[in-house]
This record gives sequence, C-alpha cells and structure tokens, in this order.
Amino acid sequence: MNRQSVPDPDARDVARAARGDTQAFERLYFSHAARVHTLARRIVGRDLADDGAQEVFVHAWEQLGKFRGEALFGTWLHRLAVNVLLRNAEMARRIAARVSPAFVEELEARPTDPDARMDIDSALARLGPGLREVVVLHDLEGYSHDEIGDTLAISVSASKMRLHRGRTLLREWLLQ
Amino acid sequence: MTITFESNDPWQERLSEYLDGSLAESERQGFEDHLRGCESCRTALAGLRAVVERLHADQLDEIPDGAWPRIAARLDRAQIRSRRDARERVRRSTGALEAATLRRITTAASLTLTLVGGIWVGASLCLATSVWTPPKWIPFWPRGGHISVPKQRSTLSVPAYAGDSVLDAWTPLRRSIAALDQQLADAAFALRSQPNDKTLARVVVELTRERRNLQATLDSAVSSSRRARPMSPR
Repeated sequence: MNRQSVPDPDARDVARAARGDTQAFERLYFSHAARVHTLARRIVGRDLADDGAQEVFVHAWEQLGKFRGEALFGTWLHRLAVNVLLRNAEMARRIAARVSPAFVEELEARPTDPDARMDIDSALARLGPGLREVVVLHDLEGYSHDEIGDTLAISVSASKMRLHRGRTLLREWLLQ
Repeated sequence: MTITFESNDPWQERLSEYLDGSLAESERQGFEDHLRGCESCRTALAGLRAVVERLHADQLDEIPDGAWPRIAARLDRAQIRSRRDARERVRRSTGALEAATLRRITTAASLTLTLVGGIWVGASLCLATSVWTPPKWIPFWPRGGHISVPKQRSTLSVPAYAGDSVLDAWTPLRRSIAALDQQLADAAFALRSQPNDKTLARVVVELTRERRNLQATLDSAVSSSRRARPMSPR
C-alpha cells in the first residue's frame, strides 16, 4: 500500500505530543493501547503484560521526536513495541539466568500437567521464548519470515523451522 | 528444549510451509500427491490448520483500568531524560566541528564577553556613585547641574538554585537518581518474572535504599541553598 495515499489519522496528535502535549499523547494511548497490550500479553505473558505495555508507551513518548511519518504512527508504534517487549523479555531472562542458570532451562521446558487442556496464553508461555516469539510474530502479528529474521536476528530457514515446531507443539497441547 | 516428532516422513517437516503457501509450485504438487495417500500427513495438517485458526481467533485485550495514570506519571521524567539526551547529542555534534571553526567561535565569544564585561564594570562603577558629575569633555552638557542616581544594592550573588528544568549545581545528583530509577524499573521488571528470587529482591531493596539516600541528600542540599540565598533587590 502506498503510504502517501493513506493519511495518518494520528498525525495531528503525534505532532502535538512531540511538542510535549500529554493530552494529545493520551488520545494516542487510548487509540492504540488495546493492540499494544495484546501484543505484550502474547510476547511476555499475561502477568507482565501491564508493565510491558507501560514500558512501550513511555519509550514511544521518548522517541516521538524521531518519528518522521514515513509509516503510519500505528505501524511505527507496533514495531517499537515489538522491539521494546523483546528486549525487556530478553533482559529479564538474562538477569534471571545470571542469578539462576537453571531458570532459562526451566523456562524452555516447563513441566506441566499433560492432561490439562490449555488456553492460548498458557500454551504460548509453555513454548519458551525462542518458539513463542516466532509463532506470535508470524501467526498473530502477521510478520513475514524475512521480517522475523530481521527482528530476531535469525535466518529465514530458522524462522520457518521454529514456526513449524511451535505450531506442532501447540497442536499437541491445544487440541488433544 | 528437545522436540521429538512422531513420524520420519520428511513431508511432516514441510506442513507449515504448505499451509502458508510458501512451497514452490513443483513441491506443492508433489506434496498434494503424497497427501492423497498419507493419512498421517492429512491428520497432522488438519491439526496445524486448526491451531492457526485458533490463534487467529485470539481477540484484542480490553484496555486495563488505571493504566494511563501510571504511564502519565512517568512521562515528565521521561521528557526530562529525553531533553538531557538531546543536549548530549548537541554536545557530540559540536565535537565534529572543525578545529578552525571552533577557534573562530571561541575568539568571537571571548571578545564579546570582554566587551560586555567592560560595559558592565563601567556601569557598575557609575551606578555605585550616588551623584554623577558630567565630565568636562562633554561640551554641551548644562554646567552646574548634577544627576542623582540611586545607589545600587548588592546583587552580585546569583541564586544557586534555579529549579528542576535547568542545569544547575544539583544536576549530577538528579541524573544519578534518574539512572537509579531506570535500574530500579529494570530490576523490578525482572523480579516480576522471578518473584521468588532472593538475590533479585535484594538488588531491588538496595537500589531503593540508595535512591532514598540520594533523594534525601538532594533535598537537604537544595533546602540549604535556598536558606543561604541572598536577598533579591526590591
């Protein structure tokens, strides 16, 4: 889609917010909070979703001066949100791993009740970060494998492999 | 993580690619030929399709109550940090100027300061005198008259405290507190994912204590500075 042909519905509020108008930023928040919060829940889990979404909007406020209007504000915010949430999730894992090296392994293969039928949040959490991020970005956020490769710094073939493994595990957990 | 697959059928590894339509045309035809005779692949494919449909059915969340005030409370701090970063960017870009340009700027600034300083000293001396007599080399000044000038009050001390939004003596302390806040936020975020971790909890406690001490130092210093500030001219 040609960006030039699509007027950005947020343009006026973005310009005002970039000059420090918090009321304009509040309007932007309420326009996009549901999507950002959903993304946070999918990437960092339900427990951390509130904090994750908060981090995203504070970063967006700080970075507004760098928004050049080359994409719609919603697109820019979503990309920023993915990066902030992935970074925070990775940082949390690193800090936890420094304290307890076994913690990451536990995250990767968390024991669960094999008879329990899970909801999507629990199943995604059980996937572990490597697979979950690819499944979320591809199947829930509509990223291509090229975009996932750029975002997560992995190859396209690795992205395809993780997606298939993730879906295969979800099939076992969600449908049995 | 160890993942085992039930089948050794190589097509089982390509099911997602088929589902997403990313197989090459020749591969797609080969797979569909295979699919007609392979019950296992048909079942697995149906399962994957159901997973994707279920993921697509995931709804957007409601906006959580009370989230905006918490974010709004952090925006002012974020803005101050952002301005500080902008100043740092200006400082770095100045470093890229050529040395000759910098010398010219410095020389011009020195001359200006000297000129302004000279005028200021001269004006101060004149103002400090209660009665000013016109010099004789001013030919058309009416002789015999004097100009009375009120004596200037001493206002040489500039207030040391100038508020939060400008650079002042306490800026380094404020920056340290802002840095601690960031670390605290990071540590608290990590602690949420590992709530039973005692080391992380201790880190949060230590950072909180350090932040409280720094804030107390800042408050005390600012308060002393205000008390010691000389009276302004009326």
